[in-house]
Amino acid sequence: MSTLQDPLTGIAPLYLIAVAFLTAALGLVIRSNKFFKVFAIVNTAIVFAISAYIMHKVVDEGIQLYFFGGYPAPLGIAYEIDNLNALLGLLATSIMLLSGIYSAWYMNFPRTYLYYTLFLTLLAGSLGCLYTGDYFNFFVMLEVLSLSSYSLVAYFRDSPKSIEAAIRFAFTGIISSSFYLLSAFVAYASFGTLTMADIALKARDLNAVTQFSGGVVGNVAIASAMMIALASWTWTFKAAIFPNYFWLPDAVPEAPTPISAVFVGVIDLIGVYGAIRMFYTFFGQGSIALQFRSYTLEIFQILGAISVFIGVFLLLLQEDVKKFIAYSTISHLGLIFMALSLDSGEGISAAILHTISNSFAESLLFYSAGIAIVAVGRSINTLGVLRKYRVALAGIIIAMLNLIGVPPLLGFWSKYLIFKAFLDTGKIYGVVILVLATGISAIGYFKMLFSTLKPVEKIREDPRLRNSMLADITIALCVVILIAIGALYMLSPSARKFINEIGYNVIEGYKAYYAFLSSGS
Amino acid sequence: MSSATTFLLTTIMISFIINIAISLYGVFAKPSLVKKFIALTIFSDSVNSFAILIGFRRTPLGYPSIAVMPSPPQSVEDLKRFVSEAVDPVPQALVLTAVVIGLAVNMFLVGLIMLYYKYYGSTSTRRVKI
Repeated sequence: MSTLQDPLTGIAPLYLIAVAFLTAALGLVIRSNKFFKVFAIVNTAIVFAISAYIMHKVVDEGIQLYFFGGYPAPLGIAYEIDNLNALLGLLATSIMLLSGIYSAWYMNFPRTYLYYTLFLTLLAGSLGCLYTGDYFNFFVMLEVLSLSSYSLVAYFRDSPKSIEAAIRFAFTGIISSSFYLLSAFVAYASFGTLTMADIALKARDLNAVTQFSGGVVGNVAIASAMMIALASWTWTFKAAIFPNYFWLPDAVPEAPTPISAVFVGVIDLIGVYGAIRMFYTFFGQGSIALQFRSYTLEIFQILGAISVFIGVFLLLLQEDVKKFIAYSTISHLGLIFMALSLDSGEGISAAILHTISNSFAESLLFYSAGIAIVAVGRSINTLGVLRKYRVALAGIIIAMLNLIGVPPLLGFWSKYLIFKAFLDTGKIYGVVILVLATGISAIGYFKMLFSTLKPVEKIREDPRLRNSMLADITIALCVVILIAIGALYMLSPSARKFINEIGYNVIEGYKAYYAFLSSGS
Repeated sequence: MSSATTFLLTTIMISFIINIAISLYGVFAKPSLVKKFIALTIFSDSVNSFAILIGFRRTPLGYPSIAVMPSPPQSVEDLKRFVSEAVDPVPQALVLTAVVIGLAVNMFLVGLIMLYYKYYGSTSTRRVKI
């Protein structure tokens, strides 16, 4: 098995980190901003192609494994990619590619190579988090991701406000990832292994014997409960759920606009992914932690509902367009967490589809509003400047319709799936919250749409405004992706089947995740 | 025989938990950024020392001893004895990784705090709440 590994499966994060260091080194020699823009787009496109290839392989051949250095799984670090990872990885790289194209328009500041170094590291970290099959390697990649995101918030280091935002984000973020580290140590202490598949196996069969790893030690039920409790802090932090939501509206306005799009599109995704893995693959059906897990899922329902309402009510009060989008993201992530903590396959599928819809739509809002931010400023009342930039205006309208959930777009189908998941599990309050949240946030969205009608007089002199072609291309691509995925989901039965299968695999097909351990390597 | 070891381990565990609680209090309640930073390093150090504790093995002697393996190992019994007495190396490798990552994070935070001091002339966050 280990001789026939496909090197492309494991190469993406390593390649990106190598390229990021190369960018930093080249920055000392090459002064041209244009070179780094092209360099970053090309490399992001290569990684996008790799993740599409992985997706293709996973759909065709099932779970993909890659053992680093050829060491079999419990001994070394393994990458394990199933439907869920592959789809989210493809989503992350496509948003990063869009942001890369947008950055080529947006970044006409000095020290661009530093920006692109951090940009590529951020992508490496998020792909590493998504593809890895090792509990500790996830921590390492989480730190790569977090550290580059803190520094990107502080990228405009001449502005005191962005330094403040970065300090706040970094202190809370470091604590949340230290909790994850602690949960990794607890996992090693009781399960005697750090491979995710091995943990999933031993949480279900305490007497399981795997090559190269010891048996379980001590009271595993308490250890699993500790792991769930500690890591839940990290998932809620990354996904911006109620007690830990404050960093998102704080950090997003100070970051460069393409990075704000990455924050709502990619970093939130890591929290959603981590929560699904932890609650369904490790400690899902048949595991020892069932009782504690069901309490935690109930708490997640409440936390999700609270963050939905925080999001929709605070959204109405915002004057800053970036904060507006951040609160809108918080409300949608609350819905996603409510759906994924339903403990049903439908809920997982709905959460995944809503993550896709939300990531593209919120990023599209940032890309479109970014032109207005360059032209006038961050106030929501000056969006009227977009009347001159038709593509951006179209982008805002499509994104709003998608977030409200108008039928042909993807947002409708994902909200429909969440609705159905709530109905089928008999949680009527979920349906009420979904409808209320849509209604209240629609007031805010219409307020934003209305402000695009007011003409704006004072427009800044900025060389970027003369040629906004690259931004227009990004917005157009994003719009096309939203409409295309929505149409694909509506028309193609195989797409619907694929999304349903992800939920089913996570809930019922967990055995496939650790099947390779017993097949002998 | 092992009651002293058990007592010691329990004491270490309790002090570890108290350490985490105090450092979290420091991070969230102290107004000075430098003190917050010190509390944060205490927090990550106590997490790391917990990992070192995991590697501890109770030897038949009742106290940690330096495990020596005759090279080449004479028999399977030798190997088994070595494995039962030697400290588990994996937590140490993990801690090494975590410490290196922590170094990078701390450097970054110190840089941010210095910039903050440059702009506001103080490291206090009383004016701006964290």
